Amino acid sequence: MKHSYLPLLMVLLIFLQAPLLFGDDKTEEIKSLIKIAEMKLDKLKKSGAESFASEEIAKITTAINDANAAIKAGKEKKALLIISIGMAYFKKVDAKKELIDAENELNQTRTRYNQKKESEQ
Amino acid sequence: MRIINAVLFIVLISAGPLFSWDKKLSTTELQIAQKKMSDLEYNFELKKFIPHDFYAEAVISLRKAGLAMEKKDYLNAYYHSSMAIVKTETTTVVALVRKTRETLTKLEIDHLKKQKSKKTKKSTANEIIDANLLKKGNAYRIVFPDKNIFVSGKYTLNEFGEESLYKLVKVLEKFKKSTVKIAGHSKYRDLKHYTKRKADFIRKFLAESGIDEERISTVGAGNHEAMDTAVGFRRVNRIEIVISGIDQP
Repeated sequence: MKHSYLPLLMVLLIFLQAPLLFGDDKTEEIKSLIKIAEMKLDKLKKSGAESFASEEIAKITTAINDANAAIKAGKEKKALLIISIGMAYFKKVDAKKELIDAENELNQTRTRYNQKKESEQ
Repeated sequence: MRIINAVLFIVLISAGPLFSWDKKLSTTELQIAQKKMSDLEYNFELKKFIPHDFYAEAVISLRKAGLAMEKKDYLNAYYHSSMAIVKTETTTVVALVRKTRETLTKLEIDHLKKQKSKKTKKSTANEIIDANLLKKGNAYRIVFPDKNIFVSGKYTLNEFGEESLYKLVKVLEKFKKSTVKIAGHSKYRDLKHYTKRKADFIRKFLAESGIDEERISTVGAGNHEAMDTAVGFRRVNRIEIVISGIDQP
């Protein structure tokens, strides 16, 4: 009779430990996301993106700080959502960089054609 | 006991605004997202350049935010609203990139066409004959039916139209004292504004090709003047260009 309770107890123990185990995994996952965001941000700053995307960089920095604070407070879900919003700004920075390249190319072509026109006249 | 209950009730009521902080923030964020989306949708200059994949993502985020608000899940509503804002902004920037790239391509094509027409011009002997100008009194005249020079359904010049106008540009460049009068005509109705716009479009083209705008005048003649065609006088959608002052030294 005593032996029949053992498997039930084991299953109960596993279930009790599960939230703790999964919780730890999630925290690590979010921390690694924050690390990736920090690395990307450093790269952006080094490439001189602050000249055209200062607003976005400020928002990403705030998101990283807020996510770190939320993790310390034990609010994992909030941290994950905040860092996801921060990560979305990287796409916008890339698009902005592309826009500046395209505008520069357009201006250069215009200047080149105008100079050619003037020299012909 | 009753007193304790009453105190607890008051504490809970006063704590209400503290819990509603997320709701206010989420509502504001959602409103900003909706405004940005409507700004993008009503930006008719950018509409044809909007990338559909980016736009779809932004719309989905906005809808998710709306649903979360309905379920009073304010944290998720805030998250989806923020994502919708970023995605709408990214969509706008990508649309601007596409617009700039198209302008660049058009500029390059125009330049190549002008180069081509200049080459053909060099091989000609007499600009007036080349441009098919006919002398009438002291002026030279040419008539272009709309269907010959415009792409059908649009007011964009076709290849023949551009070539013909470049030939006129050559004449105007050679005879610097000459002046041009461009008249737009319509077929069915007396559309003065419409015909004037047509004439202005040709003036703009000539001006962009290097002709001084002060030498060019435009008129919207409506449907008052018929044209002498092979089957008698008919009202035709057309552009008439009259160049005077060619004979002046």
